Amino acid sequence: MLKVVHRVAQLGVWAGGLAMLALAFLVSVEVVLRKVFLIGLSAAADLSSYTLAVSTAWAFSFALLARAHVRVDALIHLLPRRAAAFVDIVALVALTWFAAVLVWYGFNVFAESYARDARAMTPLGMRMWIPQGLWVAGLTVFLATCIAVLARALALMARGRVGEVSALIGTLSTHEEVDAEIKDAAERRRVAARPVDAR
Amino acid sequence: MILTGTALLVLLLGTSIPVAAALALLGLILSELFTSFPLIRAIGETSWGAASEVIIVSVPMFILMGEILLRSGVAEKMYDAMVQWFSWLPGGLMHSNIGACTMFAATSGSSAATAATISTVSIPEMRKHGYSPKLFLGSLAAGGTLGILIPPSINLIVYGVLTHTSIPQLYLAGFIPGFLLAALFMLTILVVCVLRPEMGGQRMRPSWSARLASLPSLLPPLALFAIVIGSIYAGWATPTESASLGVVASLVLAAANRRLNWDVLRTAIEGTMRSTAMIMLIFMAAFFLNFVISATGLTRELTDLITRLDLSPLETMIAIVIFYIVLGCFMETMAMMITTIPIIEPIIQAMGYDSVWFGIIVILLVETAMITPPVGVNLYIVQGVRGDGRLNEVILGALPFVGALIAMIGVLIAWPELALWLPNLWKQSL
Repeated sequence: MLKVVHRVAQLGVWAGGLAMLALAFLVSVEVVLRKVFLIGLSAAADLSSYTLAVSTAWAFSFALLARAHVRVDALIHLLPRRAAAFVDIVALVALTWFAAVLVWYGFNVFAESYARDARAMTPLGMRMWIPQGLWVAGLTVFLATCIAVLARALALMARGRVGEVSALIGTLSTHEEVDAEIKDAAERRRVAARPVDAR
Repeated sequence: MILTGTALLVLLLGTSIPVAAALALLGLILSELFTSFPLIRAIGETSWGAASEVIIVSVPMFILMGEILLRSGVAEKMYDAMVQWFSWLPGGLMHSNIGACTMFAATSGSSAATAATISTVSIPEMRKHGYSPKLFLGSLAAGGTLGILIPPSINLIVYGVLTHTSIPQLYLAGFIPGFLLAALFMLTILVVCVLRPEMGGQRMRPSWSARLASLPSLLPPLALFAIVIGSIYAGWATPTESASLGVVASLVLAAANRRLNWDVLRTAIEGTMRSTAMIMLIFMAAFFLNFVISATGLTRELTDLITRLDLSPLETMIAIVIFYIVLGCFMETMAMMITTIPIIEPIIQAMGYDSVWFGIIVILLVETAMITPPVGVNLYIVQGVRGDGRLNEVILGALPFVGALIAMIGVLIAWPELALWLPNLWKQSL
C-alpha cells in the first residue's frame, strides 16, 4: 500500500515540476513576444495560477512522505520516545483531518463550477471545473496518502516498533537534517565533479 | 477573544501539530466560539483563492532558480573573483564570503540557497588556508541571510501578498539596507579579527592583474540580476514573470557551464516542489484563518487593545521586535511570517508606520531567526555542508553577526529613509 502511495507521490511531483518548468518557458516567450514583437498573448497569467494550484496539490503527498510539513518541535524533543511517537500520531491525525476538510469543501467548489459551467472572466475563458477538478484530485491523493501513512504508523505502534514510527512520521531531528544535507552536498560535489557529458 | 485565540494557537503549535493543520483548526474553533455562522463552509473558496494566487507563482519559480543555480557552476568562479578583491583585509577569506553572498543574493531569492551555494565553494578554501572554523562558518550562515534582503526575495513576495504591499517597492526598499548590512557584517569580521587575530587566518596579497582578470566571472550573476530585477523596473515584466525569466536564464547558464543533466533537473524539481508544497499548505490554512479573523473582528479588537495600552509607537515597535526574536528561535521562518504578519501588520499601520518599511524590518528579523538556535535553518545548512565538527561552533561563530543584525534593525528604526528613499524616488518617477 505504502509503495503505491510513494510511487504516485513521486509521479505527481515530477509532473508538477515539469509543468512548472514548461510554464517558465511559456511566460518567458510571452514576455519576449510582447516586448519585441508587440504580440500580446495573455494566457500565461491564467495558466500560472492553475499550474500553481494543481501542481502543489499533487506535491502535498511527496512533502508528507519527506516529512516536510513544518511542525514546531521544541517541546516534543523533551518527551520520552514512546510519548513522542504518540504525539507524532496525533499530529498526523490533525493533518488527515485538514486534508479531509480540503477535499470535502474543495469538491464543492469544483461541483458548483461544473454545475454552472463557470468560466474565468479573462480572455482565456477557462472552464473553471477543469483546473479545480485536477486540484481536488491532487487533494484526494493527499488525503489517501495521509490515511495510508496513518494506518502504517498505527500498525507499527501496535507492534511496539516505536523507532520505525518516528522514522515514518517523526519531525526531522537536527541529526537527520544534517545527514540529509551532507548527502545532498556530497551529491552536489559528485554531480559537479562529473566529467563533461561524454558524447 | 484575543486571549482565547492566542492561548489556542500556542497550545496547538506547542503540541507539534503541523502548522497548516493547527491554523485551520484554530480557524474552525474561533468560528464555532465567536460567530453564529459555520465559516468552515468557506474553506473551499478561500483555499482555491490562496492556491491559485498568481503572485505566489514566483515563489516556486525562485526556489527552482536557486536549486538550478546551486548546481550550475556559477558560484565557483564568482567566489574566486571575490577572493581576489577582498582577501587582503584582516579576516581575509571571510570578507570574500560576505562579498560572494551579497553578489549571489542579488540573483537568488532564498537565504537557504545562498548559504548552501557559497558554503559549498568556500568551506574547502577554509581548510586549505587554515582558518579557525568558528567565525568563518558564522560568516557563511550570516552572509547567506542576505539572500532574502537583497532582491529578488521570496520572503518579500510573501510579505507583499499578505499585506497587499507593492512588490517592486519592497524590492527597492531592500537594496540600501542590504548593502549596509553586508558592510556591517564585514565590519564585524574586521573588528573581531583585529581584536583577536587567532579567529582569522591567512591573508592574501593578490596582484592587480589577477584582480582585473577575475572581473569577467562576475558577468553571469550580473546578467542574471539585470534580467530578473531590471525587467521589472524597465516595465518589461511583472515580478511574477521576472521569476520565470530567471528560471530560463539559470537553465541557460547551467547548460553553458555543461552542468545541465537529468540528475540536476530531477533533484532541483523535487527540492522545489517539496518546499513549495510545505509553504502552500500553510498558505491555504492561513487564508481561511484570516477570513475567520476578519469576520470575527479580532484584528480590530487587537488594535484597540494595543491603543488602550497607550504605548508609544516606538515602544510598540520594540515589543514587536522582541516578540519576533523570541518566536524566531522556535519557529520555521516562513511559517512564522504567514502566521503572524496578517495580525501584526494592521497594528503597525494603526501606529502610523509605513508598510514597506516594516516589510524590511520583518526581513531583518527573519534573518536573525535563521541564525539563532535551536531552530536556525542557516546554521544547519552550513554545518551540513561542512560535514564534520560540532554545530556549536557554527552557533557561536554566528553570534557576532546576530549583534550586527540587531544593530541594523535599530539603525533602520532610527532612520526609516534608508529603506524608503529608493521606493519614494521610484514612485515620484512614475
